[in-house]
Amino acid sequence: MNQLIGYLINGIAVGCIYAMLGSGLVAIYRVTTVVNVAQGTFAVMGGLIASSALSFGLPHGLGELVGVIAAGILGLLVGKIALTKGGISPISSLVITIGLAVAAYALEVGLWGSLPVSLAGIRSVLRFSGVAIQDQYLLIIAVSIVIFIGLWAFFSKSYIGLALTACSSNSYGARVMGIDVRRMGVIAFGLGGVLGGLSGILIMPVQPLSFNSDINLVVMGFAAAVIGGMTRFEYALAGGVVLGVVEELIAGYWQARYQLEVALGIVILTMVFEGALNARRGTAAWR
Amino acid sequence: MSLTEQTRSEILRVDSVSKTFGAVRALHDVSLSVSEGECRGIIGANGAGKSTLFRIIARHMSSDSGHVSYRGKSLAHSPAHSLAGMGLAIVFQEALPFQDMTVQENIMVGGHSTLRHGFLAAMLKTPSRRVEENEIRTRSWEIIDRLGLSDIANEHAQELPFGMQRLVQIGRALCGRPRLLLLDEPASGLRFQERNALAEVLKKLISEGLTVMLVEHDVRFVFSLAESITVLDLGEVIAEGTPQEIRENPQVIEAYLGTAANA
Repeated sequence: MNQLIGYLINGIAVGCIYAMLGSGLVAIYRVTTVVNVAQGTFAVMGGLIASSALSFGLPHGLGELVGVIAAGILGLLVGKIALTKGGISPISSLVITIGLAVAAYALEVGLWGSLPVSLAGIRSVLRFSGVAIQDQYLLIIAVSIVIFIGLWAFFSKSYIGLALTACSSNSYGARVMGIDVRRMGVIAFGLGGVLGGLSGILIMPVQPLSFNSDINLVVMGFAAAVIGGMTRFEYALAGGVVLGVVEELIAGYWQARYQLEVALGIVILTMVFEGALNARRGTAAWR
Repeated sequence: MSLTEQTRSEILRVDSVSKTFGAVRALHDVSLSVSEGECRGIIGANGAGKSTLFRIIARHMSSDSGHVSYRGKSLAHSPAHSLAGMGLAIVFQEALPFQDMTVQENIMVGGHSTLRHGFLAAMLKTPSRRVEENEIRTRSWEIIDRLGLSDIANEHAQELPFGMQRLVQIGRALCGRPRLLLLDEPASGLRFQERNALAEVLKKLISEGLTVMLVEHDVRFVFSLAESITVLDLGEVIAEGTPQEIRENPQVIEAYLGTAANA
């Protein structure tokens, strides 16, 4: 029983990370209808830059902040390149993000080597009635709650959030309203970078990251985002948590190496199910 | 030309614009001028070049030759999204209301072009930006009141009947405080009552001094609103004048109106 509680809390925390990666994908998709394959790269780069900042002697907190800001700037850059000109198709932008994610490997291996890098994070452990939880997991959950409330308020309550949402709903209409759709898209990529960087620095203390961890991260984030229909943060959060918990339970009671297969299985099932649902409603499954 | 038209200043000028798509000549040497405060109708059969002309004015398409100027300034280098900020509002049929937003939120988005303070100010919630956003909110409610949308202001716009959606589209454009409103086939797809309701709204706006240019193939709708009409046929302007003059123009009757105008 105690073991189960431990798995559940760890699973929720890991799921929150997937949800945060997924929310970065959602933020970008909502505005640009581009699936950003470089989302995992933001997490890896954010984490690696934070580790260097800390090793240069920056205090905890500040070093991690540098990593998140750097990931945000990286997001803006990727957005600028992926949305090079107005009217570029979302599929072309997607392919550009794949290219950039692969190109980032060279930079990462060159600067940080190919071995996994870790961050200190919070090492203390909380114990209650025989269950031991690393505090880092609790930090992840706490930060995620704040982030998701913030995202929801930003996109559905603020004026700038309305303008951002207008871009994805009807970019034609948004342009006519005087909204610079490309600029809004680049801003969304910047936000995606911050969310990616944040998930990177949060997960690195419990799961060291290397240059090629981005694939795993983006697939898990994508799985969470797909459950949210690529546009809803709250569903992406739920999707991420389900994934994280299932993964922890499989790793705990069976084999850790099946986690990616399980995530992909969930993605496929969700897509088939949503596709069938939309076909019945007579709407396009993939807008 | 009447005396009142001479004293009004020109707001939009189209100067010998031509456009071809492959072998199809969509527009050939089209010129026209719209004065401040006027309601101009552009009519023509399907394929006459109405939509092409509209798209070129709206900067969604570029012309092969000729140019368009707005308030004396050429639009050749203005990106499509900059027009709203200049007071040129466009209502496209295809630009449906934004999804997952209420009627009031949709109309508020239309105020975007009137913002002077940018993204950073929005993130930092600076006092001046907050004042602007509150102004837009107030304006959106005024527009809702004017268009008679108060009862449905908090409903999701995409779930409304077509006629209501059209009004939301117009409300959205009005929130940008336009000087010139361009309407692309505003009456198409609407039922009889919806069409009349829309005409009433437009009449009110025109009487308040808004310049309106409407491209429409519903001749009756245009005749009931426009004070001057330009007729396109096969990409060329074949007539221009008051509704009365257009109705009696033999070339127009032959090319387009047929007996419909007399019916």
